[in-house]
Amino acid sequence: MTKKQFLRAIAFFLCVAVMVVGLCDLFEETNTQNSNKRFYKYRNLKEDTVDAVMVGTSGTDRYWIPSQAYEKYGMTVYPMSTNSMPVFLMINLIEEVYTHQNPELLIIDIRPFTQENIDTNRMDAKARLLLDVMEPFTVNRIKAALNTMDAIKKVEPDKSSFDLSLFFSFIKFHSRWSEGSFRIQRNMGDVEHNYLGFYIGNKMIRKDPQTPTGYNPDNLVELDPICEETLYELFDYIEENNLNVLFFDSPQIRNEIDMGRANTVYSILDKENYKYVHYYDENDEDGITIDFDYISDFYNPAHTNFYGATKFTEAFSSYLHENYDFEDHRNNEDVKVDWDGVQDNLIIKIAEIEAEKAPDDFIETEE
Amino acid sequence: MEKLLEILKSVRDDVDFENETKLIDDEILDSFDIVSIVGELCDAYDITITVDDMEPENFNSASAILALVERLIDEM
Amino acid sequence: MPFTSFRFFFFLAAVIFVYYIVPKRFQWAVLLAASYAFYLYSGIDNVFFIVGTTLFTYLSALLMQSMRNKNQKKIDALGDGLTVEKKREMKKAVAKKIHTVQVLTVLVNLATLASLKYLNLFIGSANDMFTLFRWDASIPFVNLIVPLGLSYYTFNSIGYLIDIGRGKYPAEKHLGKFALFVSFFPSVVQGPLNRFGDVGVQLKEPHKLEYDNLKNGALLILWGLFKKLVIADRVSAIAGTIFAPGFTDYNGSQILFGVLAYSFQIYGDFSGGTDITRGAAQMMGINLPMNFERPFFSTSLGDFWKRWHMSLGAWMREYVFYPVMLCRPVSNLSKKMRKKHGSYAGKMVPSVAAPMVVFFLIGIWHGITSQYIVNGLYNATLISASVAMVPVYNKLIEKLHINTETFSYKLFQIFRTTVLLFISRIIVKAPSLKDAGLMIKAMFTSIDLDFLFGLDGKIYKYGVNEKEMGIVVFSILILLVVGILQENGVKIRETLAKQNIFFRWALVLLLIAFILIFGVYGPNYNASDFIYGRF
Repeated sequence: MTKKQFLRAIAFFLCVAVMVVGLCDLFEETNTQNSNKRFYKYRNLKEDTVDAVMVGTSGTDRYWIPSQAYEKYGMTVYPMSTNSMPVFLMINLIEEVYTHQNPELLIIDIRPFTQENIDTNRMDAKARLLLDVMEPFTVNRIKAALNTMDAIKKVEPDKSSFDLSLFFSFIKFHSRWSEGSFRIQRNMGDVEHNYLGFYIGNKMIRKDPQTPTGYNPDNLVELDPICEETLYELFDYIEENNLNVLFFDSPQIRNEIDMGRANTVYSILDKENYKYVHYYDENDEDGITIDFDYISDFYNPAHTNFYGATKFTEAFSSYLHENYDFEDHRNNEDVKVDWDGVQDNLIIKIAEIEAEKAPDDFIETEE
Repeated sequence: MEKLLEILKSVRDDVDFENETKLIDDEILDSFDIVSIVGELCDAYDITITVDDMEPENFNSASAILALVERLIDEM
Repeated sequence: MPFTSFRFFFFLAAVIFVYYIVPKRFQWAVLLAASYAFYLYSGIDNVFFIVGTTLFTYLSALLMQSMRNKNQKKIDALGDGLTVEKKREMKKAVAKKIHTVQVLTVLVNLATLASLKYLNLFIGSANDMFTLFRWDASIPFVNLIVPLGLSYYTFNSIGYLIDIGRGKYPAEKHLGKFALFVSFFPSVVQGPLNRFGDVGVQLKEPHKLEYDNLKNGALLILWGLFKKLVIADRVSAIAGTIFAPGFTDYNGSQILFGVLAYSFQIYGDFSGGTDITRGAAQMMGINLPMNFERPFFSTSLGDFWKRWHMSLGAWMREYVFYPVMLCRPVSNLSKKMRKKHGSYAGKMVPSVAAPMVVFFLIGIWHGITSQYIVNGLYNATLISASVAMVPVYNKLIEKLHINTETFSYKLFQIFRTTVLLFISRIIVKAPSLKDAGLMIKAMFTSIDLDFLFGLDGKIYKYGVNEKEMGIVVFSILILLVVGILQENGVKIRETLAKQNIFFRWALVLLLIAFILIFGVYGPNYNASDFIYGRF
């Protein structure tokens, strides 16, 4: 083989590689677009400008309004969450958080620990919603894929565990072409989130009346084994890396079983001596008080709408302000460039949606 | 050779046996043609063609077939 | 290791890399190691059988060779003391002995093949008979695995034994190189069948790295992937549904649709797999025999078997057809018939006997159920009949003034052959023989044009929706165009190489993208999994 032929072959393979990367972009799962923007924005914030990061599931980007907290106190608290964030990837998510910023405080929503890991198809899907937005070509990403395979193997030991498509999502998603809703992506390439990770969509003005679950600390339900294992691994991780952590519970209407699981998490946190805060117990002086209106503050049992979010953010940011010493960044140029004016835009956008859409126009379009 | 050509033509009159040298290689004759030719040859020359003789080289041209026939006659 | 898996391509790349790096005299060893690694991957227990067959065949051949050599030495030693006739006598005597060894060893191989493949079926039939006679005996089923590529490596070995018995070439002394011939990994799974005198020799030779081999082999692999992943794996759902047991809605057009889909499925699967096999071998400088030559353009059943699974046809021709045709009893009978009833009758005997045996065997090669046997006989009868009917056809053509040189006549022949083939496929694929009969009858009697042309939308309900059907049809059109080009003598890869580099690259990149997007591979994407629930 001559040198010329060899070089030509290399050039051809490069063309193939470029084409494959392009194809991956085209076939991305649409559910990840929002999370993609959230993560991309986080990675592009100026160095050392984030006070705290909240990790959790889709609730996290719907009850916490970063720009509101910033407007009031100048604190920068960013939500890093994906829909149904799977508990077995919690540590990988935290790794990603600390790779790009150095937050003083890590706020962990205990919601993932009340999950059930039974349906491996769902576990796989949940994992992908996170894997596909993590920074590609990193060791953490590879470890996350391996953790996913491990978790699935624990639930279904007979299933062959190695799944190449967890590393190259195109292998799974290429078959989307025959899906009715497949469209060739209009935004190829990364786009930043407009509201610092806070979710905006028609459903955020929807009001779905709920009945709150009462507080019953004696209702204790066993955790799913993977959740329990991950919780203890998380404790080890926190110790090893000397992290400052606050556990909390996000607003949602749970059924008895999930509430029982949440209670079990609290009892473990008590035993292991980790700080946590929630809003259930009105008599708890260390807790937060949120004046939720259960008729109008939720758009479904698991998520607050914009109105509920404002209340939660008010209460929780006040709690953070009292208990932690976050700087007021409103004069910091590095912070202003990303955080200033976002709250105003948000208010305008909400008003727009309120004007156009009836609250029951429950369409999935997102900003 | 004349007699042989006659026999060959009686099986396939559309093939130019005088000049073709790749009757088998170019698949001009198929296995049924060969069956017929072998039958006719056995009859005409009172020889027995066996499996060992079924080599492409022996049937690729009229002269090859003639050589085969002559060899078999010799060995009788 | 499936040929369409990522694993296989990593494996192949690694093998090719090592193959061209080592000194040429070790190339065969690399291939042998790779072949056994590949084989072991399919199960460690499997290996026992192929090793057994390899050793047995190797030793049997050496035995025959030594018998021949010893005899020759004797003859040479006696030198001029022997008349020509005495020499011939001695040669004949030893040939007979060698022939006996050959037959015995071939039978051993065949028996191994039959028992490993069909022992449980025989046991089942025996048990059925016992119950029929109300005997209390029952043979337990044996827990036998069918080793990978059993039929293929056994037939390769049998061919080798027969070649040695005939003295075609000297027996292979090197056990490793012989073992490579038996186990060569690209072709051990699904062929093509190899001759030792051809592929065996190639495998022993050193091979220099040729860019064209790599390139053309890779292109062939791509083409095979296209046929298998885009077409075959996609339409397999259709035949799977329509010919499933219990599916009794015998709408003739549905059956037609099913058998049409099935035809493309087995073609895409088998010929695609063969392309990958031959492409992989070509990348290593080994030229394996062709196995498919545009079978859709066959003008007769006989023509079909020269275009479909060609290596099996060639094997049968060499080792079954001619031997049967030329064996003593048949040729004697043939002579008698010729003397009594003329040359036509004389010709008929071998022309009927040989195909009968060959196609019966081909039927059994595929399976031993009554359906396979009936299919074998069906093919045999039609082929024998077509030979017998030649004078009748010729008269008919003369009387009707049909011009057989025209394109329209060729189309007629292709159409006729296709119908006959569809019947053959139904015989095999239907849930039972009775079902097959009903289905064939339905195919000719109940036609539903609305269904056939997709007007009532029902053809999209068999696992291939409209969009996917569009891709299938488009792909088949590409196959057709390429096929027509090749029928007219165009050598695709050669012609491609002569085009401009931009065109070549664009075309290949398009093909790769097409396979990546539309190929059926990877875990199933299910949109509902991604819609998050309570969390």
